[in-house]
Order: sequence, then structure tokens, then C-alpha cells
Amino acid sequence: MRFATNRAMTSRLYTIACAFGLFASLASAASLTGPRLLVVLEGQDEKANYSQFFGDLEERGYQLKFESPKSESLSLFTHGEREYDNVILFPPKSKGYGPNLTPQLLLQFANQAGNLLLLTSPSSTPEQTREFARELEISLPPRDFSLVDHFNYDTLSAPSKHDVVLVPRPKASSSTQNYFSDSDSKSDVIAFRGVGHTLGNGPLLNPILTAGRTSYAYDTKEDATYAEDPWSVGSQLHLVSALQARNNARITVSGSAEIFSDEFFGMKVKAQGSNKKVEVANRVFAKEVTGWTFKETGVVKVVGIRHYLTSGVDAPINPSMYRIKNHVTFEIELSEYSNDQWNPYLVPSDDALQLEFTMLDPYYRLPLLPSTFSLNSTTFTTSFKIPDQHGVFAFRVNYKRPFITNVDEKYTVTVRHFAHDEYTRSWDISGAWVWMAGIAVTVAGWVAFCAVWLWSAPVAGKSKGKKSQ
Amino acid sequence: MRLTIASDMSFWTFLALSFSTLAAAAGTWTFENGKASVSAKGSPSTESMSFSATKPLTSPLTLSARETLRLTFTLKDDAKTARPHQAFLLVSDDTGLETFFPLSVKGESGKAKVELSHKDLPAHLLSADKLSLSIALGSFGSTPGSIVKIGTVQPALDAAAKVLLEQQKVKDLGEGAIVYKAKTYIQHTFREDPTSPPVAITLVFTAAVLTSLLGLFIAWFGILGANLNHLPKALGSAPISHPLFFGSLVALEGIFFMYYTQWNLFQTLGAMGVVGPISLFSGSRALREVRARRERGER
Amino acid sequence: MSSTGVQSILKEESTRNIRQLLKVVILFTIAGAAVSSRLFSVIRFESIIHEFDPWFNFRASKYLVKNGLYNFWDWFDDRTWHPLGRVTGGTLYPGLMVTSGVIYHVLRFLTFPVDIRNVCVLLAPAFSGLTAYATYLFTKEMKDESAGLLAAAFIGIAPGYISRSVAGSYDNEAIAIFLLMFTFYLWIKALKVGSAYWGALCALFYFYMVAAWGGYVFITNMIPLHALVLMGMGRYSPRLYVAYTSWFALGTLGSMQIPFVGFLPIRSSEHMSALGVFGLIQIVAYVEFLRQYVPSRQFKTLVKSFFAITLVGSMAVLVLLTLSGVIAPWSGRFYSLWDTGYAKIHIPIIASVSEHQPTAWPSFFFDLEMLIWMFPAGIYMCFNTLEDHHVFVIIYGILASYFAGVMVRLMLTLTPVVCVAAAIALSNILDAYLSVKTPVAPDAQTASISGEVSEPDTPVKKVEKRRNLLDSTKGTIIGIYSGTSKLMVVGAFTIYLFVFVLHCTWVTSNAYSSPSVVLASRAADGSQHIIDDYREAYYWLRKNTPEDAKIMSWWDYGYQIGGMADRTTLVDNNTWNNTHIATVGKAMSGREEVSYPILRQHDVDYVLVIFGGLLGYSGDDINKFLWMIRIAEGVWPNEVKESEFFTSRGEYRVDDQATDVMKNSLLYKMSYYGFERLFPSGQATDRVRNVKLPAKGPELNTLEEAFTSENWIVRIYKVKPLDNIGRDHAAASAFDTGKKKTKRGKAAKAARKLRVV
Repeated sequence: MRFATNRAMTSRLYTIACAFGLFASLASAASLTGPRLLVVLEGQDEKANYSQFFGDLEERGYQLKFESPKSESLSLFTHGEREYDNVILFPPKSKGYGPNLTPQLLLQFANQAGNLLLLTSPSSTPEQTREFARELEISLPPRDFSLVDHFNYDTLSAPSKHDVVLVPRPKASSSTQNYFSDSDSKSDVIAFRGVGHTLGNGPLLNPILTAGRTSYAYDTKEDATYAEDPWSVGSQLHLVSALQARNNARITVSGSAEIFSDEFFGMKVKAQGSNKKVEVANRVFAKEVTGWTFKETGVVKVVGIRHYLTSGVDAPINPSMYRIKNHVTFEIELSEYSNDQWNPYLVPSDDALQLEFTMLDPYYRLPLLPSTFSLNSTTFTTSFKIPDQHGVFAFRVNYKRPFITNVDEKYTVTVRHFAHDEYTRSWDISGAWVWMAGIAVTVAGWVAFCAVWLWSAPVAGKSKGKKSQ
Repeated sequence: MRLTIASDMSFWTFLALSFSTLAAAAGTWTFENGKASVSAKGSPSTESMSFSATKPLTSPLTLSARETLRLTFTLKDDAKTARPHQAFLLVSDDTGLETFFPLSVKGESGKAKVELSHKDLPAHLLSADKLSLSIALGSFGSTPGSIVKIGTVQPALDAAAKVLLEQQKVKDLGEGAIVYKAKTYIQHTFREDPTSPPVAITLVFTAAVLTSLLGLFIAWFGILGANLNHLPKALGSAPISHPLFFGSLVALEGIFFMYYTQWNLFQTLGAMGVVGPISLFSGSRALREVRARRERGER
Repeated sequence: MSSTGVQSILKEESTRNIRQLLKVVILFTIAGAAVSSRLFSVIRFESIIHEFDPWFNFRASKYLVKNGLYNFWDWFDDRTWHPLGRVTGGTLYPGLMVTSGVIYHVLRFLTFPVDIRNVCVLLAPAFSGLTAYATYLFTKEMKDESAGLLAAAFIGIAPGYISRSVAGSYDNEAIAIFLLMFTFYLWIKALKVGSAYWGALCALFYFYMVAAWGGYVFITNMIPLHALVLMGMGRYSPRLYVAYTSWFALGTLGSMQIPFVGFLPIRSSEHMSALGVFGLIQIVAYVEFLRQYVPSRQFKTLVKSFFAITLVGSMAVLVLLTLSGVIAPWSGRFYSLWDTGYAKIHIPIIASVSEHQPTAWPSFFFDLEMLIWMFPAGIYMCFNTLEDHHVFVIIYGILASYFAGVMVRLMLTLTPVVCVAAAIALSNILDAYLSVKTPVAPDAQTASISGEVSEPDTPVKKVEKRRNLLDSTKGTIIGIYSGTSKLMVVGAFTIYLFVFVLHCTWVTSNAYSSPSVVLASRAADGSQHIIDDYREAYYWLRKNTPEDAKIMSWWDYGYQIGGMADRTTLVDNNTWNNTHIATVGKAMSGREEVSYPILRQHDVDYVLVIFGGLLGYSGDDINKFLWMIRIAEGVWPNEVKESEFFTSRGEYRVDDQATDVMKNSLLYKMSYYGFERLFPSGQATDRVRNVKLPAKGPELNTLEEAFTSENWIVRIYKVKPLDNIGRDHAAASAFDTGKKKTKRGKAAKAARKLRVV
């Protein structure tokens, strides 16, 4: 099998290969970005509160490094290169982060393909975080806003404050990939204490966990007796949201750090009106969220692209030029990374992988259907007839979907016009037969005329004059 | 993502509604004396309609651009009037998009009111056909909250407002105008191929053209008396140039035929370069012989 | 010139061989002079292709040499007009490239290790030598050899022709003028001899002309017009019939072999006159044929009326076919020949080209000097003898002088006929005044009238023909007796000729030898300073951008970018797609937010602008900006409005009084971005428009400066990719510079913002 990969792809494959090299040497870190994980956290006791969370991460091969938010030695970069692959930012107790964690630096970290998990809390989210989130079109409420839900709260831990809110785990959807609704889990509810945020309409943003319709965020200081001016209400409030940047860096913002704490991992909750105590799914959820954010799941890669003339037996693979009205076949081979291995990529049932054949505007948008499966990848194929328009066209697979890395392959080919000797020959056009007969008659007449002119003997005086004209 | 949210929504509504029915027995947050009236600015309000937690408004209210919908209630914690912590009017369309309006409540009297007009509603909601109104009540403590649908409202828009609204929608969407999902399929429609007339007609005309050659020959040889009688004479006086000249003429036609079928320009020019001089030289000889015959009066 | 001195010797030497030898020597000397006077640019600068179009021709020649004729024929060029591409093989006149390709291969075959570039650079001078020869032949047919030699000398150095044929000016016109003159010569020859052989030769060179230049339409209309006028003058003859029909039949078939021309000869209005005259001449020939047999007067009137009806009928059919669209109506460029204001209103893209502007009066004198006043005299001389071929010169002179008045570039077609006419006139004068013999009074009557003094064996036929035309002058001219007057006149003309040579050399050296890719300026002390910004920038592109980078610029620079930088362009000097050019105009004149999506959609990686403000180079993009706006407005009248770029007082300004639309346009921003940094605060001055610029320069968010040449003439900007986290570029750069976003203020009563996706 011959594959031609374009430049972008080879470089990507190269980084992936490098990443593989790293895995081999450093046990098995599941993250495709890398195992170096910076945790910005204040104080040892805080660290102890999250021991299970960190333990789980270490188990998955991450090398955790803890730094205090104001630390001088903390630096995300050395010599302009990323020092870490992934960062978890806990809300600081003090007023804010130090000068090494400015919003600009965080953005630069993401621009260099580092992943960020940003945890906030109602009482101590610094202005820097808010400013950074604002760039992502995520609005964090001001200080001291808190989320409550009088309809769905844990009657055991928050019988009167109603601030431990019970949220069901995200539901599986048939049109997107689901990385947060693992069906193996015994429990189906997540206990949440913190505050939500609201999101803009940008396509890069996707909520992971959304608040229930009846929950709302209010100012605990001002509106203690009556929520006169709540921050936001219901499904407009999101608890955990993710942004996948165009370079596939992932930034996840959680409205609560506590949901990842040991306390919440082991919590048993009882909903209002229910008599059953149930375990929460926070631990599974934490694994899913960190796994996705640090690229253990939802990474799709293009293994190869091929296009060729459908009819030709020995047609060259990936030629740079086609002719109008050629029949071509396009194949793309996709592979998905999940946790620690590359699997064949499967398109969700209500989604479609599409090929566009475009010049300024798409001339075709066709479904790419799986044709063959290998151990690690799926090959998707479609065939079509090149339009009757010459120009510089592109085979484009622009497959950007929530929660998976962007597949945006643009493969430019030139579509030329018919060459002078490629048009239908005149004898194949029935309408031309009359004209061809005309030519044949002229030729025959001319040759005969020459013969007569050369060799005719005079018959009578009359015919001579006419012919010699 | 919309699908996900919507499915969540229905689940939650179901959950909430089941709660409220369940809690109705035990005593929940509720309201009474619900009154709705629609009034335009400056003009007296229309007759107000009453509703309650169990009896929502039956007919949809129509709200036009300059009008205000005013809702008033008395909020109750089970039986006694009180002020809950959460008292919102929820306005949603049928896709699950929802916004809220906190009620203004007068102290512990439970007297609450809320006003709704076009300018309060986000463009995406305002452009919906029908909006449903719900009241969500809840507070700290053990009294369960309730969420009750109280009716529907239809925003009335004129054409100009609709255009503005569409612009506002695009503006609100911003980047979100691009949604990452599968798009509609596109097929290219080709220009129609040129067509030939029916073959029968073509054949008739072709036959006519070919017949004309026959007609020409009949005219020449049959009527005008053309012949090839001088051939031996010509060969006798110019034995090489006559066949060569005629042969080269036929060869030229042959070259044209080869060019037409398979040769390229360079091959053709090469062949012409060979045959051309031959026909030139032999031709001048042959034609000189013909002239000699004519001068002798033999033609 | 040399021929004047030679003439007197010739008169005394009657040996034919010496005459012949001298003629050859003179012709070679003329060719040598023609070639060498065109080499100024090579000596001053270097062997480089000039200007704009030649860069495309050069690139096409390279392609032809590299890939062969058939690939060239089927060439689909995906490096221009991105992403549309251009069917280059089918939309160019291949004559020039094929010519230089043949020369290249022949030289290679002869083991000369030439570079195709040098062949291209020197093609035009080489062909100017041939033009001189063709003009000699043509003029010889008009009068005699001495006039021919004079005409050859004139065309060899006339600035009007040099302007298009200096070394490096590798354009279609370089060979087309030779072909034009040679085709005309062959036509005259065919007409004189009345042989199908010459007619066929004429058709063959007509075919070559069609292959070489779009100006072939001039021939397509000149020859039929000549034939028509001759018929109108009652000078129909079988010679005309044979010459015209053989030329038309073979020439038309030949011209249809050029892919770019294709079926135009039977489908477009420009070619209809040739077809019409072809039909007419058949009728005339038939009538003439009938007249031989039926000399009845009544029959003749019948025939005449039949003739008139046919004419009217065929005109009606022509109009009908044009209206129904079977025959293409006249193209815009052609209309603008008749109505100089037409292009400005309807086709700004044509009007925007400087060489399509009407000619200014001084340029006639600049380009032709003394020839321009000899020209009417020569035409008058043609009237004097008025044979069939003189009619041709007269028609040619009239038509070409009209066209030259309409469009600057058509000065080129005028120049040959001016040279021919002037040579006829001057030769007549010299014939009369250089005659050493003192004429004998009675003989002089016939001999001296139009300079047949040197040829005592004047054909009697000519004299007879003249009789009925200009009877009044006959007999008044007797001859020149006084030696003093001879000396005076000859001396005066010698001085004129010397001045002419000086003028031609000066014009060639100063006005027409600049490659325009490289500019030269003179410092205060007179030393020459070379400004090489264009090539600096193009080489920067060539070396620093990916090979498939797409460069957007105004179309003027498309060919140069393709030729010198070897990068894909959006639009170029082959302005075949007005909409695409208007798209570029829209991107240039729009706000950044409008332009950026256009740039993205067209895969633009770099944008190139020409800015002369630092150096005072007036041919920059800001001065061309109004054309961009006009062309864009023609396609998007609602989005681009020319009036918005003018201040309320109707001024086109770039300083702080400029309109907001102007200041926010992409081109303005790209031109002046960072310009104020070169000056002390508030002192930034644009030296082209002589205005002070605002103290604060424009901000660019969607583009970043990639390269600015030494003298700031060429500025190249890179198009930024989309923001990594989905912000717009303005917000992103505000964030990068540390500006805090204003907090989402709780606006009192505005509707809440929702996430709706």
C-alpha cells in the first residue's frame, strides 16, 4: 500500500512518533501530548485533600510536579519551549497567581499545544483566571457567587444550604463522540459544589457538564435572602466546559476544584425525595475530564490520503493534476487514540465524514463511507466525477467535531481542461458524418479532377472550354 | 451539543415535574392569585386573566412590540405567604433555549410581579413562534421547590422588526454562525453535452453528399465526355513525372489523413517536407507536358 | 543619412552590380544601426526582461522550451489566477514564444550555448533589423529603391517603434511590426502581380501575424478596406480578385488554427468586413464576367440594382445575426477605439491601462520628430501618382493616424506608414534636388514632376494614368535649374536628418531604455543610483516563502511576481476575468474585517503593495487605488463606493483629512503601516502626494508585515492565520498588547446574551 502524506501530516506523524518514543522510555503515559504535568497548588494540606485525584494521574503515567502559584521558580517555558505538557491550575488561596502565570503566558502555553485544566472556586478565583477565561468566551461570575439547586441537592451533606448539587453524568449523544458517559460506571450522578459559568457561541467551546434547569448562581454576600439578581440560571449555566483550540490544544474549565477532591470522590449522596444513598461518579468523571484534556481520548489522526483515477488499473496515486470529467476515488484513513492505543475511527451514527471538492465554493460534498478496517485504522472512501470546470481544486476533509481533534485536510489538485487531442473524435459524433462525407467527396473529386486534367483527351469543342477554366 | 442539552432538558423537566406533583401532597412552594395582563404603553391594560399553579392559562397570549406582559402572583410556602430565595419566571422556546426573569417580591407578603416585553427577550427567543412561561420557586430548607408551566405567549412581529431581529441573531451568534457538524450534501450538476441530430437524418444527408460525387462523375464522364484517353500518351512523353506527380498528390492526401487520425504536427511537416518537393518538381514537368499537348491543340 | 550621399554616386555609376552591393551594404548598416540603438538598456543596466507583459512572455517561452510545443499548446497554468487557473495555451498568441523557441533550438543545434533569456532579450532588436528590411521592400513597391532605403533607415531608428522594441522588451509587438510590414508588402506584391502564389505567401505571413499579435485585426480590416476602396474607385481587376480571394481563403483558415482565435474569424464583428468584402468581390467578379458577354445598358442597371439589394440584404443579415448573438458584437476594446469615453464608463479595467489613454499631441513629435511633417507630404505624393498600391498607403495613413490619436499604444502601427510616407516625400525631394543634370525645358515636363529624374525610363503608363487626375498641375513644374537652390534645400534636409538622428538617439537613450523593473535616479552630483526594490522584493518572495504560496497584489504586478518570484498570483496582466480582479479590488479597498474572509477564501498567504511615498515614486498603488475602487464598484456597487473615498469637498486625500473609509481600507493601512516611525513625531510626509500624514499610523490586525524593500517601494504582508482560540484578530492583538477587555457591564435593560448553539 502506498501512502503519500502531505507535509502537515508528516510533521504530525513525526510528533506522534516522538511521543511514542517517550512512552517507550517512560513507562506508559497515556497522554499523547506528554507526561510532564504541572500542578499549581497552594499548600501541602490542599495536596492531601486531592490525594486520590493525583494518585490516579500518577497511575496513568503522568509525572506530577507541584508548584505554588506565586513561586519564583515556576516557569511554563524554557528557552521558548514548553517545560510541561499539561497544567492543572488550582484556585489560589491568595489574591492571584504570580507573574509566571499571566493570561498571556497561559495563552502562549496553549498556542504551543500545551493542555490546561483550569479549576475555579466561588470564593477564590483570581482576576487573572477570569481575564483568561474571557478570552475563551467563558464568563466566570464575580467573587462569592455560588451555585444552588433547591430541587436537586444532596440531603446528606447540604440539607439546608443546598449547595452540593447533584448533576447526572453527561448523556451519550448519537451525533458526537462520547468521552464523558462511560456506561461501565455504577453510578450516574455527580456531586458538584462550586459555581458555573456561561459560554459564548464560538464553535471551539463545548460544555461537558451542564447545570440542571432549576439551578442558579447567586451572590452569597448580597442576595442572601432573595436571589434578586442571579448570575445565570438553568441550562445556560455550565459547570465544566472545554475549549479545543485550532492547534488542538485543550483547555478545560471547571466551576469547582472540590469535585475532584477525596471528599467528593468518596461521597455518598441522597437526593431529595429519595430514600436511597448512592455513590457518586466523580472519580470516573475526573478521569474522563483529565483524560480528555490531556489527550488520552478524542485524538483522531489521518494515517493516509489517497486519490486516483477510478477506472485506471495502474493509475498513479495522488497525481497533482486531473482533467475535467475524470472519475476519481478518494480515500482517507483515520485512526483514533483512546487511552493507550490506536483504534479504527468510527463515525457516530448521526454524524458524517464528508469530502468536499472545492474551488472557492464546494462543487461536491459527499459522504465518505468506511470501506476497509485494519487493526488501527478505518479507510473511508468515495468516488465521483470531477466537475466540468477547470481550476485549482482541493480535496478537503474538514471534519471538526466537538471533543475530537480537528481533521482538516486540504489536498490541492489542478483540474485541467481537455487537451487538444482529448476531445471526442469527429467520427464518434454522428452529426459530423455529413461534414466528413463532404471532405471525402472533395478529396475524391479533387484527385479525379487532377487525373482528368492531366490525361483527358478532348471530345468535343464545347466541353473543353468549361473544364480548362 | 444542542441535542445533548435538549435531552437533558426533557429529563430534568420530567424530574422536576414529578417532584412538584410528588411534593404537592407534602406541601411545596407554590403561588396563587396569578394574574396576567397585556398592556400597551399609555393605554389601559386589557382585561387580566387569572391562572393558578394547577390551572395554567389556556389560550396563548399575544405580545406585540410596544406591549408589556405583566404577571402578578402571591407566593406561598405551602399555605402561608412567604418569599422564597428562588422565584424566577422562565421563558423557553421548544428547542429548550431558556432565559429567566427574577420576580420582584415585596418582602414576606409574597406579592410578586414580573414584566415582560420584547426588548427583554434575546433575539433567538423572540423569533420563536411560541414561548412557554414557567414559574420556578424554591428556597433553602426542606420545603421542596416547584416549577410550574403557566402558559404560552406568542410574540407578534412586523416585517421590519423581523429583519432587525435576524440581524441581531447573526450578531449574537458571532463566531457561532459556524457550527461544527455534518453539512448538507452537494452534487455538481454538469452542463449538458452537445447532442447530435438523429442518426437517420444524418445518414440521409451523408448519402446525399456522397451521391453528389457520383453526380459529379456522371456529369464529367457521362455528359461532358471527360476521359483518361491521353494517359498512354502522357506516360509516353513523361514516363516518370506523370505517375510521380499524381502519386505525390495522392500521398499528400494520405498525409492529411494520417494527420487527421494519428500523426502530430511535426510528423506531418516532416512527411510534407519529403512529398512537397517531389510534387513540385514532378508537377512542373508533368504540367509542362500537359501544356505542350495543349499547344499542340490536343486538348 | 548615408543613402543621400550614396545616391549621387549611384547616379553616376550605372553599373548594376555596384548598386546592388551598395544596397545590401546599406541595408545591413541600417539593420546594424537599428539593432545597436536598441541595446542602450542592456549596456546601461543588464540583460533583463523589461516591464510587465514581457515577463509573462518570457515565462511562457521558458515553459515552451522546457516542455515542448504540444505541452505548451495544452498548458493549463495553475500558478496564475488562483484558484481559477488559466488555460494559457489557448489564451495567448504563441507566435512570439514559438519564434524564440525555434531560434533557441536552432542555435542549440548549431552548438551555440545560448540561454533562452538572452534569446528573449535580443529578439526585439533582431526583429527590428528585419522590420527595416520589410519596410524597404514595401516602400520599394511604392516608389523605388532609394525611397525604400530611406524608409528602412527611418523605421530603424524612429522612437515610435523603438519604444516597443528595445532589448528586453520581449513583447508581441517586437515581432508583430515586422510581420505587419511584411504582410503588407506581400499583399501589395500579390495585388501588383495578381498571382495566387503571392496571395498565398501573404496569407502565410498573415497567419504568422495572427499567431503573434492581437493587432492582426488591423490587417484583417486594412486589406478588405483597400479592396473595397479599389472596387469603389472602379479599379476592380482580376489581379485584385486573385490576390484577395487567395489571401482571404487561406489566411482565414490559417488564422483559425490559433486556439485563441478559433472561430472568431467567422463569429465576431471585427472580422466581418473581410468576409463581407469576400462576398462582394465574388459578386463584382461575376458582374464583370457577365459584362464581357452582355454589353447591354439596361442589363447593367439591372445588375447594379441587384448588387445594391444584395449589399443591403447582407448588411441586414449581419445586423440580425449580431443582435441574435450568433456573431459576437464588437469587443469593448474595439468600441473604445471609436468612442474614447466609452471605456471610462463601461470598462474601467481597460481605461485603467495607461497605454489605452488617448495620445497627447507632443508625443507625436516626440516619437516621430520630423517624420510627422514629412508624412502629409508623402501622402500627397501618393495622391499624385495614385496607383492601386498608393491607395493602400493613403488608407493606412488615415486609419493609423486616427487610431494613434485614440490610444497611445497604437502609435506603433502609425510609425511604419509615417516612415514610408516620409521616405517617399524625402526621396522625391532628393530626387529633384540632387539631380546634377540641368533639365532641358521641354523634357522636364514629363520627367521632373515627381522625381523620376533618376530613372529616365519612366513607364509611360504611369504618366498616362496621372493625366486625368491632376491635370492642373501638369506643365507648371519644370525643374530645378539653380545650383544654389539645390544646395540650400539639400543642405537644409541634411541638417534635418542629422537632427532627427540626434533626437532619435536621445529619446531612445533617455525615455525608452529603462527596464522599469530597475529604476535609475541621479544624485545631485550626477552619479547614477540604481533603485532595485522590485527585484529585491521578488527575490525575497522567491527565497523566503513556500513554493505554493499565493501572493495577492494588484494585477499590474502579476506577471512580474509569476516571472521573477515564481509564486502563484491571484490576478495578472492578462485581465481575462474582471470579477476576479474586482475581488482583489474589493479586498484592497475594504475594511480588514471585510477583506480578511476574502483573503482566506482565496488562500492568500501574502499581500504585496507598491508604495512610493518614501521615495516619491508616483506609480504606486495609492495612485492606482481609484481604479481598484472603480473596478470593484462595477461588480459590487453596494459594497464599494468610490464617493466614500473622497472628502466632502471631493478631494482624494490620504492625510488626516482623509475619509474614514479611506483610512480603514486595507491598501491604505498596508501602504502607511509603520511609516510614521521613519520620521520625527508628526512629521511623516508622503513625497508623492506631498502631504503630512497623521501622527498616529494605521493599525493592522489581520496582516503582519513580512518584508519592506530598501526604499519602501515594495511592501509585503503575511496574512495571519485564524486565531488559535477563536477570537477575532482585533481582540487578539488587543490582548497581546495587554489591553484589558472591558468587563461585561450589566447594561441596564438589554436582553441577556445566551448560548444558542
